[in-house]
Amino acid sequence: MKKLNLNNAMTIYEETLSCGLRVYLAPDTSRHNYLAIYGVRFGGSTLTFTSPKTKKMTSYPSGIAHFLEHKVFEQKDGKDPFAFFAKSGADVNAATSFDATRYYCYGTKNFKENLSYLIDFVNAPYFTDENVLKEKGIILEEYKMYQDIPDFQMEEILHNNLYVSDDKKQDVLGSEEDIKRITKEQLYDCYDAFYRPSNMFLVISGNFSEIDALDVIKNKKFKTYKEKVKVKEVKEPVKVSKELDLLKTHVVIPKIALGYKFDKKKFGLSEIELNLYLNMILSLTFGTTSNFMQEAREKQLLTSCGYEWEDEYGKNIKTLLIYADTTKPDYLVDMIKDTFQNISIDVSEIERLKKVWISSEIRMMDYVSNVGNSIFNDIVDYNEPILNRVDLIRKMNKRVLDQVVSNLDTSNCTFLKVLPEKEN
Amino acid sequence: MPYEKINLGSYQLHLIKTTAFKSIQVKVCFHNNIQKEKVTERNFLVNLLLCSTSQIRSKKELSIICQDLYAAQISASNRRIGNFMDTSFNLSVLEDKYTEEGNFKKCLSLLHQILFEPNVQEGAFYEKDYQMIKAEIESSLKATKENLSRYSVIRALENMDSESPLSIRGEGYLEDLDKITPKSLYQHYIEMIDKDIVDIFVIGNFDSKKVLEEIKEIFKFKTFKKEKGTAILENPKVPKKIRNITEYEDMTQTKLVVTCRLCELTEQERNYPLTLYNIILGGSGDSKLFQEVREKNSLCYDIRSVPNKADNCLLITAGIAKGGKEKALKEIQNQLKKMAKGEFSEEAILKAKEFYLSSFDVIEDSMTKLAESYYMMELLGVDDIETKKRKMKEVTKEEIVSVAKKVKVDLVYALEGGSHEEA
Repeated sequence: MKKLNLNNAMTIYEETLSCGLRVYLAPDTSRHNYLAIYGVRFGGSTLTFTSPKTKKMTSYPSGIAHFLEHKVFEQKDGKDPFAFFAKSGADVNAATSFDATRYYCYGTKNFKENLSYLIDFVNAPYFTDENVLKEKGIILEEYKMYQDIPDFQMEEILHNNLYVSDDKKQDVLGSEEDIKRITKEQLYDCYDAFYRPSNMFLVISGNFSEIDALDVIKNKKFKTYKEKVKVKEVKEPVKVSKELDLLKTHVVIPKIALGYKFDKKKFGLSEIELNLYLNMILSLTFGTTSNFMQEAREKQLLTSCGYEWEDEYGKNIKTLLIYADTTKPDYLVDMIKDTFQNISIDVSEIERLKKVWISSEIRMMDYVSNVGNSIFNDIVDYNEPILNRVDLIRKMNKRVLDQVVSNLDTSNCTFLKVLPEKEN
Repeated sequence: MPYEKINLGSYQLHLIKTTAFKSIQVKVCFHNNIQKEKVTERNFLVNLLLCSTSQIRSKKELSIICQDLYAAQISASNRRIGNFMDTSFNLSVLEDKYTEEGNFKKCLSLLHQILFEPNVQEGAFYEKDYQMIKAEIESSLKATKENLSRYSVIRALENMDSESPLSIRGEGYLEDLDKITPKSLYQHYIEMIDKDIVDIFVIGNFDSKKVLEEIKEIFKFKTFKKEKGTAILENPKVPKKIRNITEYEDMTQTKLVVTCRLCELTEQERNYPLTLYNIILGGSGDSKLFQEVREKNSLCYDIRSVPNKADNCLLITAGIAKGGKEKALKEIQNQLKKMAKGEFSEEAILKAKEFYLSSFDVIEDSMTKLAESYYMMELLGVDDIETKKRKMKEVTKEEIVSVAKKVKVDLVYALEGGSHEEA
């Protein structure tokens, strides 16, 4: 096992098994609980790849990664993973994003048994026409639940308007028609293509021993595959697919959503450095300490405002999504656009935010789930855990920040206005 | 875990020492009997207090000061706990050894400034802040319907008993907003400081003597108060019949809320067998409702039951396919009957106990959960963590069945798409 040092404050262990599975262990026996995440680099934005059966480039229905996540819980012996983990008071669940699917268990007891079963149930798919049909009812209700949430509708439209060729145009959950046409054969195709040890990783944090964990993992048999799966390469243009859109739905206060697209290569920085600088710029320009926020609140322009960056490892495009509830949508959008044109950040602001972020990194270690999720997210985002984040933050400076600001081309933008349905 | 409760006359100080965290949390809790007409104003007040102080003139300035204190986080929340309105102000910051000597005390002083030096002139809060917060609260109250799951629960509780505190909307009421003025807010503030019962919790790795002195020096509440009444609502009557209410909104799914009265529960039943009853019925992914309604019948994605001990009620909520309401309801009632007949296994009880005991093991891994646990001991008079673990292990199947027989469905509330005419 390779010993690594996380921010000079925590030891983590790394091991790559001969089958290709990457394992990251962050033991902390001062805690009561542990978190084990078994993940795969396959999510909602991968819809076209060579079928392991036909070897031909094939397109699959949107929402299939999420459907697969649901179905992985189905076991041939009829055992229910929820019931298994409940025996020791542990929680089990899963989540699918655009670029990954994770299965995790969170508990305080029976570490070895629970870890062993987490690997076993994910490694043993069992799909039948009947159990796939049954799941459609559940997933369609999940889909409808989200369709009743305006913020979700907005996100769906924004993605559709941002992307031209990337399958991120489609939501992770998929469309109603696509969910209905998913078959067990397609699910097996996706499983066989991506649920391979070389495309998966296991991250464990909290109260366990690294020796016990590795002992369990090494005793498992993992299926290996010879032929490679080719995912269709998409050259996504930096231009948005639709610049303006309007949604009328059951909101009372109007909302806005702005989506920006950036070409990552233009900035000339590593992915992690680029993320740190872009987050710093956004936080200081639109966050609670910004002039923008103070002015917008004083003018009673917005009631809530948030932003998020979206990115995918190995892809050229980075997007920024900004959301706000506002009584004056057009005015606020103009104000946001003006603010982007006049970004000015001084050294004291940079140093203050660095202090905040370093404090957050230290506090993050107080919670087992934060440690595990942070390592997992790093692997998804950067293909490796970022061990020296604190050092990278310390090194941030105005010169590089100003360079990033000058390369921030906000001309590729889509604007979605959301108005109450009943308004004329 | 070392725990000390110190009576400082006008408030109680609770010191919970643990070396498990790198930060220290301080929670200043105010509680008093809830008054429906004051809920909106209390929310308004809390937002105003976090906006500025007599010396810190804007939210922006306050945020910068917090960041300079090594990312000190100060927040506040309001909620109803049975008959009580609870307002908590929270401070969380790294221990001085990770920042600089004296940083924690500076943070305490900032919290003091927020609580005791509001931005007030001539008996009224600062007009500009007042207007800003008013607009924000107005928008947020208007947007209540956007979250249809939450809205369906609000409406179910209002229909359950509009006279009972359980129907009070924690976020307040739009119609009360215009009655609130900068002056009335100041009066409300004085009442909160002078009349609410105060508990202060400090959790983390600290020198007890030093913290006691610092807290005594900084937080000086002048008035001595006495607890009035209890948080637990009075025992409900057994409903004569099940009422059905359907309301309509523009939506795809049907949000179903089944409200149940918990009639004549003993304190032991409320604190122990009820918890296990709920875990088995609908409190986990392995529960009867989840397995029967979701997994076997594909009628929903989300279904759960939640007991509210202080309100003597239990809610079952689900997002159901349009047209699936009757079938889901029949299955829910079927599972309630099975629980009352004792049709659940000893294994299910053991699993529920494990589920509960694990949740206790992790309390010590979370500062927020630790604070909440000790606060509930104070507010609801529940047992300490070790006693809870011991008593829960001793619960028998008979006790759970006895609770199940006291769970009486009162109202079936549905929020669904379309209009009454279409139905």
